[in-house]
Amino acid sequence: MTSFLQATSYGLLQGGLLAMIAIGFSLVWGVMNVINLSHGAYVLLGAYIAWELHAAWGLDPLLGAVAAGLVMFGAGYAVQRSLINQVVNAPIFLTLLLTFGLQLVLVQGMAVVFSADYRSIATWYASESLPIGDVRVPSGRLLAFGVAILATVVLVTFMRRTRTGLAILATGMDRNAARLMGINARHAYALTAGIAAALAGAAGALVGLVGTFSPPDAARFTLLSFVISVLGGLGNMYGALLGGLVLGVVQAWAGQYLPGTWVNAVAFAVLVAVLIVRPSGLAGRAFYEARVEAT
Amino acid sequence: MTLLQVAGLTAGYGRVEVLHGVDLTVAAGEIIALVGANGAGKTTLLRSISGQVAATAGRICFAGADITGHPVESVVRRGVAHVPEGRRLFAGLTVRDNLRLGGWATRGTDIDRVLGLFPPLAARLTQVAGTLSGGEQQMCAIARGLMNRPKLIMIDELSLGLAPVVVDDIVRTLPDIAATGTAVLLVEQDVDIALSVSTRGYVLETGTIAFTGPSAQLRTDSRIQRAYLARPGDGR
Ligand SMILES: Nc1ncnc2c1ncn2[C@@H]1O[C@H](COP(=O)(O)OP(=O)(O)OP(=O)(O)O)[C@@H](O)[C@H]1O
Ligand SMILES: [Mg+2]
Repeated sequence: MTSFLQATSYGLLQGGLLAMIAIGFSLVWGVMNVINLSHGAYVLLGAYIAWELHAAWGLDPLLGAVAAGLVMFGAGYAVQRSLINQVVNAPIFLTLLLTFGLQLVLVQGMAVVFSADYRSIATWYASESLPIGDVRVPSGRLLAFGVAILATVVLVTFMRRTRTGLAILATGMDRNAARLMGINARHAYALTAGIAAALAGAAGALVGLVGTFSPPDAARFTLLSFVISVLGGLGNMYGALLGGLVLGVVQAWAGQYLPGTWVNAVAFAVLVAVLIVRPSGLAGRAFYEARVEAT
Repeated sequence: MTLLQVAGLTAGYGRVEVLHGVDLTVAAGEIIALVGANGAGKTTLLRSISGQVAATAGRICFAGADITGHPVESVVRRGVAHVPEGRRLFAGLTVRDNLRLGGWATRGTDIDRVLGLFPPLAARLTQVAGTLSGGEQQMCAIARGLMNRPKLIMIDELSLGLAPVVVDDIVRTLPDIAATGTAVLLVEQDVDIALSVSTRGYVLETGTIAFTGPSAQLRTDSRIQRAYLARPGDGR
């Protein structure tokens, strides 16, 4: 029983972090209809930024997450503005190809610059374990979970309540109508990409805080983001949070009770099962149902 | 004072030319009707004015500036509101959020002012726009367009899919809108309604202006009566 609770709590904490990674992927998909295959590489870029800041100045990875978020916001904005905006109305095949290429370049680049060795950002507190009832949780994971949930809630509030957030949602729903309000769609798209990259980058710093990372992990983060986004319902931000938690827990259970190689297969089994029962995802409200494709 | 001046406008889609040298003017505070058969190019003309369709020849001047070729956002910021065919509300957002977005260009937040023109919307502010009735949707779309306090509002197919009483209600607000200093360019299938609410009218036929003049005069013109003013029993 304790091992079950232990696995479940571990899964929830990991799931929060996965949700923070996936939410930006889901946002970009929902608003721009772009499946950004380089999203996972953004996570690792954030991890390396935090690692370097920690190595150079001993900057705590929680502050490193803020720095990584800011840098990656700029990077995400610039990539969208200069590259992806050019093909955003093209067939989805083209954006897939472009972002897949970008992912390859980034992963190769990171392997060259940082080597393919596993790294982690060591802190005095990350592996201190806190007893909660019968289970013990590492404080680093608990902190990362707290930050991830906070970031998600802040994002949703920002999107729903602020002028800029509404403008992004509106552009996602009907790009031409948004432009008729005077909204600059290219800027709105770039902001969306920047926000997604910022969350991915900040989450990367947290990945480094709670475990190890190396460049090839990028593909896994992209894949998990994809699964979580579909689980949660396309573009649905709270759905992505829920999807992340579910996936984290299921993977933890699989890790506990099944041979190691089954973990990814189980993730996809869950995806297929959910889609059969609820085709529009766990949260079940297709926010972009009424989206009008740009003409 | 001339607010909008379209001179010799030629525009279309790709190699297909839809407008062949259109001339049209709107003065400040005026209500102008633009009518014509399906496919005549009315929507294309509005889309050209708001910068969504590029002009291949001719000029569009607005409030003293040449806006030919300007992107949509900048045309909107200069004071043109375009209520598109089919309304195009942000269906998943509330009425209030739709109105807030309407004020994007000028940071206009005065929702009460537009609710004064369309009182039924006041009770619907927290309702998701996609669930409004057709008439409420059209009110919301026009109200959204007014949030920037435009100098000109262009309304495409006001009556589309609406019951006649609802259309009358909405059309009755047009003079109030004009009285606040916002000129109205109304595209309308229902030629009778369009000509009764407007001061002047334009009849567009396959991309050129076939008739123009004071609306009262157009209504009694026998050619227009024959082609556009449905007699009882004709349907529409
Ligand atoms: N996006 C487009 N691409 C190519 N051709 C178009 C496009 N939109 C309209 N057209 C063509 O341009 C012509 C004029 O269309 P437009 O929509 O301007 O007419 P309209 O007067 O508004 O008609 P309606 O009363 O049916 O709304 C039509 O022949 C139409 O097929
Ligand atoms: Mg039309």
